[in-house]
Parts: sequence; structure tokens; C-alpha cells
Amino acid sequence: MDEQNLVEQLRQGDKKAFTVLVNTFQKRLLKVAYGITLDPEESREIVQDVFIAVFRQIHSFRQEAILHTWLRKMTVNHCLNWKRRWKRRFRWHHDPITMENDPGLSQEDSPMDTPETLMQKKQFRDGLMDAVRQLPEKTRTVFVLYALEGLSYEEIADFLQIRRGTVASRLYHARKQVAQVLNSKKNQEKPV
Amino acid sequence: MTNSCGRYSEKQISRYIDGALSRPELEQIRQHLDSCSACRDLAAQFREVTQTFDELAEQPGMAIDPDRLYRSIQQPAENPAGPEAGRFFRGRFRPLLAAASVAALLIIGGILLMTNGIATDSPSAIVTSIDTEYTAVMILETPDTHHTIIWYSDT
Amino acid sequence: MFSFIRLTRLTAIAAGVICCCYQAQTAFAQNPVITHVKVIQASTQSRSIDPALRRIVPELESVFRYTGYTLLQDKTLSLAFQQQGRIALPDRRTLVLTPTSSQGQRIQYDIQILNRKEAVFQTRVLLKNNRSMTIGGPRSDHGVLLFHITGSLQ
Repeated sequence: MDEQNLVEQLRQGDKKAFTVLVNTFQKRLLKVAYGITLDPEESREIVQDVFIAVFRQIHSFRQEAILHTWLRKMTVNHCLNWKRRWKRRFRWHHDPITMENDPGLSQEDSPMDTPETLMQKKQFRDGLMDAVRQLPEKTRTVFVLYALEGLSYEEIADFLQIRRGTVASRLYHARKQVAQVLNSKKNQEKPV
Repeated sequence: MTNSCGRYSEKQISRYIDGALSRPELEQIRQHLDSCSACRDLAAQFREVTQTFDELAEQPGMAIDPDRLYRSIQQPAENPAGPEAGRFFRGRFRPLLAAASVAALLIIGGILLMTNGIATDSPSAIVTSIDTEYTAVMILETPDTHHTIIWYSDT
Repeated sequence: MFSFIRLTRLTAIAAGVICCCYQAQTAFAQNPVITHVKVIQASTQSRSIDPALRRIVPELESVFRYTGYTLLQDKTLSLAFQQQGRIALPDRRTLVLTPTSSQGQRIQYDIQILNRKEAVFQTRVLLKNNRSMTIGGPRSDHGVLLFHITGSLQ
């Protein structure tokens, strides 16, 4: 089903079209939402809300626009909604590094990994996500759009209504801060 | 973390890996990386950060079931009120019960106005002042019960 | 029609009784304020929930992500307005609660947390009669302390 057909079917409230919509876009949107919220449950809630909103507002969708761009915009806006932000900020403050929904070791781990290497990988991931968590939200949003969505400086600037120089600078700070945390972690782990 | 190479700043290396420099600048840095291990390591680290974040943002096992979501959209329309709702005020008691309900509502409304507004929507506690040497203080309420929570960090 | 008149009369009587009760309640406002305080330790180190906290933990869980909740103290203070109530906390801290007045259906409290003798946190709140609030944050062992405070006008 091409995009034009999909939009047409959605306008008619077609269930199959809705299934196609969810299956086509959920993976990317969940990644974006998780990148900003760093909370799996909240990202799922947000993306579900986005799909519901799209289904209800599909009549206002302009045919010449790209569906994924519209969905991405809604997802980011939902993530940056102040109520959600406030709650998240509070939760994070309370959030110890290990949570009950800690995904632990990912599917990409090779079966050949020893427990030691697996633990090292996990520590690296935890460290990286901790560092990302400490980024200011504005900086993290730019980082998400760049790293996960592969948007260019211009596209990010346009999307967030900021200057291109601001994009470059936020991206640099994100990288620097994350790399810094990882470096200090690596140094701490070195035997004395 | 600082770049020990004095020729290019970290910011320039960051822009380089994004391809966000002019063509001659990109070429100059590319050539420089062949001979400068500090800049090369930095560029590699910046790339690693982005790539790892991209991998980690994909949460295993997180998926949305489209059928279930579709059903949740349809549900409110199909089931607007319980089947008993329409039957309650039927028969000869209808005017009596309706009048009683109006009277009860007026009484309850009056009492609420005399006291402090609608009880269920207001926070359990109104915080009028906070004084602390700690900067991290937050006030919030639970979503359903409006239970007020003041939280401060003493670390 | 007769029933309607009778119902209206009954309703008027009920309204009168309720209004009298309301007046009586404000008249009692000078009497002691009952304050229940539960001192709770919340942590992620344990997964057990104290049975005495079963009723309040779901509410806390809607905001916090701790996995274990232990009741350290459960105190009931009967205080007059302007009278201080003190509860000793772990690590030489003290919680001081003073009901200062009642405003409509709310009790005004001044609440202080002392570390040794120094006030490290103080707040003034208007707590709804028969409702609760929580103050939390101080670190203790491997978790944080939460003070669940309920106030009732007698």
C-alpha cells in the first residue's frame, strides 16, 4: 500500500490501514520517543497517543506532506509536552540506575561473549545512557533527531525552529558530554 | 576531555564528522586525520557515541499491538453508557427522583462552595511556602488522587 | 403531588441538619488536631512492601519507582494549634509539625526537618481535613525517607 492509498484508507477509518500505519512506523517512533524520554513505558504511551491522534486527525493531513515527518513531529511534541516533562524530571530524580524495566543485555550480544565481556558491554551501555540522561532536554532532542533520525543540520533547525549554528553547538555539546562521561568511566575502571 | 591537538578544536571535529563544513575544510581535516592520532581518536569516539546511542535507543520487546490499539479507539463510541443508565429514571418515580436529585445536588453544591470548592480536583495540600538550603525541591501531586508530595534532595 | 411536597420538606430538613453540622465543625476548630505520621523508608534494594503500608503504597507508586517500602514509625500526635509535635528520625534528624490554624476545611501546618539542631527544610502547607500529603527526600541507608502526614480536625 503506497502512502497516498494508506492516507485515503485511513480517512475512511479502515482497520487494515491502521494496522499498516502502526506496523510501518512504530519502530522508528518508539526509538525517537525513547531517545527523548529514556522511559520505555512512557515512550510506548506517547507513540500510542500519536497513532490515535493521527487516526482522528487524518482529515487535516495535507496530501503533499510526508506521513513520517508528520508522525515524527507529533511524537517529539508529545515528548516535550510540559506535563510529561515535569513528571519525567521528577521520576528521573528518583530513578536509580538499575530499574525493574532495565533491558539488561540486548539481543545483539553474541552467544560467544563471556560473562565478563557481557558485563563490560552492559556497563558501557549504562554509562552512555546515564550520560544521555544528564543532557539538557533541548540538547538531547537535537541529538535524537540527528543520531536516530539521521536529519541534517538544516532539517533539525527547521524542525525545532532554531538556528543552524545552535544545532551544531548542541550536537557538539551532546557528544562531548557523553564522551566525557564515558572517558571518566573507562579511567575509573583501569586498575591502579 | 580536551583535544590535545592544537590545530583543530573539538567543535570542528564534531562538525567534520557531520559533514557540516565547507568542502576545502572537510578535505583539510580528512588529510590531517591521517597524521594526527589525537584527532582521529576524537572523531572515532564521537562516531561511537552516536552509533551506540542509536543501538541502545532500540528497546528490545517494546512493541505496540495495532489491533488492541484500534479496539481502544473504537470502544468509547460503541459503549457510551451502561445499559442501566437509561432505565433508572423511568416510570412514575421519574419526576420525584429527578426533583430529589436536583435538591441533593443543590445542597451538595452549596456545602462545597461554603467549604473549599470541588474536593476531588484540588490538591490534598496547598504549599504556601518552602524554605530550604537545597535547590532541588519539587512539588507535585499524584495523578488520580491529587495527593500532594514535596520532595527535596539532601545530597 | 403530595409526595413531591413531602420530599421537598424532607430535603429542606436534611439541608438544615447538614448546615448545622458544618457550623458545629467550625466551632470545634479550636480543639486538638490529630496528626498521623508514617515514617517510611523507600528503596530499590528490597522488593518487600510493609503490610501496614498496603493502602498507601499504590498511591506513592504512581510517582515513585521504589520497589520496597518499610514502615519505620507510625505516630499519632494530638496537638492544639501552635503546639509543636516532634518525631525523632534516623541519623539524628527530627520532624517538627505545628498545626497553626484552620482555614475552611484545611489545616495549616508549619513543618520543619532538623538535622541535629539545624533546620534544613521548612514549609507551610494547607492540608485538607482528613487527607494526607507526603514529604520525602532525605537519604537514609540505601533509600530515602518519606513522611506520610494525615491531618484531621476534631
